Amino acid sequence: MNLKAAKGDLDSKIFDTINIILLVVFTIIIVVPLWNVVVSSFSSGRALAEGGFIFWPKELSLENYQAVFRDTGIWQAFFISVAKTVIGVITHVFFCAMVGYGLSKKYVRGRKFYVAMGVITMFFSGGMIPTYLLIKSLGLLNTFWVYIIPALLSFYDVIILMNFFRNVPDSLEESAKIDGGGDWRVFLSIFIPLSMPAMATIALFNGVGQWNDFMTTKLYITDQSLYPLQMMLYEIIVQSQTQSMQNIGSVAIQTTTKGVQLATIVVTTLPIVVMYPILQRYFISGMMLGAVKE
Amino acid sequence: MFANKAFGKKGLTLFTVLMSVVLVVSGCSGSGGKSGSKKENWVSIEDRYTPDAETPAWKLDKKEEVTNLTWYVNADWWNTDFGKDVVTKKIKEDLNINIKFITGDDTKLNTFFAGGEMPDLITTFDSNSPVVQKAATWALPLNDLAEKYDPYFNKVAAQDTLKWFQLKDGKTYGYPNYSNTQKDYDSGNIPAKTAFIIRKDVYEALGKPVMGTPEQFQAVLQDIKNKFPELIPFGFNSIGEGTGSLGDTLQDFIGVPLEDNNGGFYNRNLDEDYLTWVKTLNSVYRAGAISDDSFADDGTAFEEKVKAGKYATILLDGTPQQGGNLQSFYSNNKGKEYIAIDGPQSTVGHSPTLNQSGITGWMISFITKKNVDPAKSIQLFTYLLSEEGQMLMNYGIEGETYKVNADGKVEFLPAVKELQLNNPDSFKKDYRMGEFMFFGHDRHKALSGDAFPDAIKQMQEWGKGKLVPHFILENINPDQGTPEARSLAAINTKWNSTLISMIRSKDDAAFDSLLNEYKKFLDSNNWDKIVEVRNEKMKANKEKLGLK
Amino acid sequence: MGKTVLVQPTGTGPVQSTGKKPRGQRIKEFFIDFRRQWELQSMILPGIIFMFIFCYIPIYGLSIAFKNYTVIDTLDSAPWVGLDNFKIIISDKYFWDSVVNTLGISFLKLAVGFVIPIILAIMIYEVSIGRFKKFVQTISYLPHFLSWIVLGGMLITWFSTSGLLNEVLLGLGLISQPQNILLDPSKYWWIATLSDIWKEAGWGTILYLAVMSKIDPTYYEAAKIDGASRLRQIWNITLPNMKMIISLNLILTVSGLLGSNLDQTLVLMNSQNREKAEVINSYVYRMGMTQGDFSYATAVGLGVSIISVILLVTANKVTSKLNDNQSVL
Repeated sequence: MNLKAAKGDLDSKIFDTINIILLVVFTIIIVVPLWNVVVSSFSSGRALAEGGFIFWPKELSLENYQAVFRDTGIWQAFFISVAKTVIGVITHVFFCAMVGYGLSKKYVRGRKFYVAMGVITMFFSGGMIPTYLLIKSLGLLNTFWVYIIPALLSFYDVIILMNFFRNVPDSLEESAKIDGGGDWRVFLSIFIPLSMPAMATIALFNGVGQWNDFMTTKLYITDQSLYPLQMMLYEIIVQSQTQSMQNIGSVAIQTTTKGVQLATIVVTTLPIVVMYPILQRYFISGMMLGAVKE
Repeated sequence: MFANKAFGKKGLTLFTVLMSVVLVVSGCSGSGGKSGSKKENWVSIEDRYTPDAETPAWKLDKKEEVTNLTWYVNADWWNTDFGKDVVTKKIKEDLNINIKFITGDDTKLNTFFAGGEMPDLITTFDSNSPVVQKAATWALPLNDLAEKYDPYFNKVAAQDTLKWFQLKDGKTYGYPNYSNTQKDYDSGNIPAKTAFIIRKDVYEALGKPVMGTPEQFQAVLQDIKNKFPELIPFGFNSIGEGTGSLGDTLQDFIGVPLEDNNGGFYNRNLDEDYLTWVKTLNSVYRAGAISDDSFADDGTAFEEKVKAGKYATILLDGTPQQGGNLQSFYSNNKGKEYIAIDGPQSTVGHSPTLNQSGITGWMISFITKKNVDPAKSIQLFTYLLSEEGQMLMNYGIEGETYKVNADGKVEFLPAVKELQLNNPDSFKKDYRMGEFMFFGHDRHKALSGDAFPDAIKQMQEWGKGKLVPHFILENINPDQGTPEARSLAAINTKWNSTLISMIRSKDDAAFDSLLNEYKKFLDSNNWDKIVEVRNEKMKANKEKLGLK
Repeated sequence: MGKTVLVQPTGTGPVQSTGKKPRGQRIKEFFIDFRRQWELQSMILPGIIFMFIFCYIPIYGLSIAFKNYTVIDTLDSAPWVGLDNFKIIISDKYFWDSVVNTLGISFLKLAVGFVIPIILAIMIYEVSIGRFKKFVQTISYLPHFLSWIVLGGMLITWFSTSGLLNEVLLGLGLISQPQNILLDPSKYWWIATLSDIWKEAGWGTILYLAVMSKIDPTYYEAAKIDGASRLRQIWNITLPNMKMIISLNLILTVSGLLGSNLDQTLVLMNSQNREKAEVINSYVYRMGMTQGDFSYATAVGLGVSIISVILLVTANKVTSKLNDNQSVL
């Protein structure tokens, strides 16, 4: 027994060492270009135009960020982004989980039909024009709710949650039902807490999607006070690209589009980087409550 | 039983049933989109004013309520603010209107047509699209509008331009900006936008060489390569989906004829003179004076290199677009700025036929049938087209933002100029001169020295007298959706890659075989039909212009 | 330990399958079960209604594929042309070239790019140093947030003749002349694949890590006592627990073979590598831009959707067989 364990220990150590080395290499490959992005965003437009790979800001300058924050409307946009992400994620995750739970039970009648229906929606879409007309006739044009309601369900997310729910042992459900609980009770008090990793993952995916989305705004919103952050940033970039095109007299434009784009990426990504650790603990944890051994 | 086989069979049955239902329903009756009966809205102006041919109607209109207009511009980059800057504030006051701008692309535009809710005014950019060609179905004719509401319109609109945009029913629906007629070309007011430029320090170091013949061109570039190893000897506009400045631009630069001897369509890509120069570029490439990167660079990368002065020489199309970058380089590198020189010349004695905005212009505006107040709208068009409107859009208000100095040149007041140079964002927000360009015109830009950055003034001077109208070649492509249009798209793609490959070819044999491949491609892709269509359209153009 | 199945009224819990009953009775049972399951059904129904409104109603827009639809048309005004659009597509040589490129790049991304997130996830999972683990995880998903416009621009700079790649290769003596690989068609598929992997590998680990976090640690303890090596533990414990999620991802990736990344293509494609870079959706995009051809785009979309569903069903069948006849769907 001792020999086996000792051999196991050595093998374990070798494994860990190689693993860490490889991961360090991986990290370098990822970090280097990203660092370049951050550092470039703090460089002046002129310095960036000269090209070359930099590891430290060249001609340290905040002008790219100034271009981004100049418009005071950006704070309103930030608020809208936060609102639509928080509300959107909570409603979306709950809705998908609800549907996914129902579909996870193999004895549910009509299940195959429902699943087929759902899968089809993943591949077939009528296109932007009929969708636009639908949104219009539902009265969602130019309202905050156009960010929330059409985003309630994604069948891909339903499938993921469905599979997670299936992995919960039947015995848990049975014992709860003996105690007289209905399906809703079981769902809310048992399945949701046990599937936090999955819920957190869907929340993350959906949250990032909501945060980054600007197509919805582009198509359905004309009221600037409803613009989210991404839309404002998109406009800033487009405006900076057209500055020269506008031919406005003898203006020496200092910021390049590239610099402004980089700054927008840093500004948009920062909140997500901050939020992720909070969600991360749901991925790392995962002890089953009251595990039932079979 | 578990979703596997069953899903396959049941799922497919379900799917087929759903699809057929949907398609049958939409194929037969009217699902979605309201039917397209676009009723016109001819408001009455009886109690507002009586039209007068000598006075612009906006001065006579007694309407009290503010008219709210929605104006759709089919572009992403349009600035949608209204009413807060000097220019639009004045428009708002004088005309008693409020404009809400909407931006978008073709899909957004289609939602208006499909959904039945049209904006009051629409501006598009593509004269070849059905939007413009079938305007009679959704827009109001300007002729009728002028007659009924504002005869003064005919005084400020160019008759040639109106005629050019006439549709089959004899009426004109859209009006462009930067529409230059023969008169404009003759007046010399249109600035050239193309130039072959070289860095001043390079030019002087080499003893101000001539680069007119292919041999001279090659020799000088080789010289530059040797003496200035940190520069890219020859640069050109980014290639992207087209040919950069090495296709049409180069052809215009050396004066390739616009039509063949019988007045029919001439494939300038196969012109001998032009191909001689392409071969020259190939030799230049093989000698290492063109960087391969130039073919992969996108617009942003090209602009960065211009701004950093990385090119020794550039064949540049669109000098105003690079004005900012050239100015920036100039202000940081006095003595090294780019200047225009004669550059490549025709080997058979042709003079340059530089191109500029033609009669078609580039932003075409319409008044739609659902317009809430067509009278007010045509007044707006008249206003913007009039001298007053043009001065307002370009220079602002006399005494407030500009003055006319002793030589009759328009000049921004110092405070305004200062803002323009140092704080472009404030300038845009508070003043917006030069940006509100519906119906803008080159002749007004010519009034002031401030219309263009100093860095490109010498280049524009160089181009004086070299501009030739390309009117007969405007709008001659096959209609969208026809097989000829599809073939033409394929042919254009083929030409774009052929040209670049020829310039990069390793030897003469490769060059020739690429050219032959292109010729063969033409034959197997309906080229004859395309030429036929183009000849017809050229003829129609000449008729409209009253040419032979 | 045998499985105890409680006997419950039909339709409210796990059941044993019974033999076939006459039709009338089956229908009656269906509705009885339906009523008994009303709680579950009430969870599913809102989803069905949602899909009906937001997905199925707009599907009539697919009829554009059978019409000649231009910018100024409404769905009624556009003339019906039947299968003409499809005929045009099928006889278009450039279209088929784009199909080849699409499949080539997708297969490459599948072969190389599918496994990497799995391996990476396992590697991260196996790290015991908490801080390093969190650090790597956070770093790994950051490239996902770079837009292709920016990343593409960076790649253009790095691949230029004076750029990073050439500097390194020249320095290592692997090449004698700098070369811009973006101009070389034969390299394009690899450029597209590898850059995509760099960007998305870290993001792809998130789902796998979520699954792995649910694996009961006692299995590992038992295996260690038995003297199993780390690799063996991974092979026998970690991977089997991920079978379902891997299958799901595989099915969805396979069904997406005819798709591609439009942003990436538009930025990296140029006139020299076009013959290998033009994929289906970039080609359709260009057709739409230059020709205003909504019909063409819709028709291609419809064809691709149908084939994708077929791929999905096939992939589902195959993975089910490998998973003891358990389907992910």
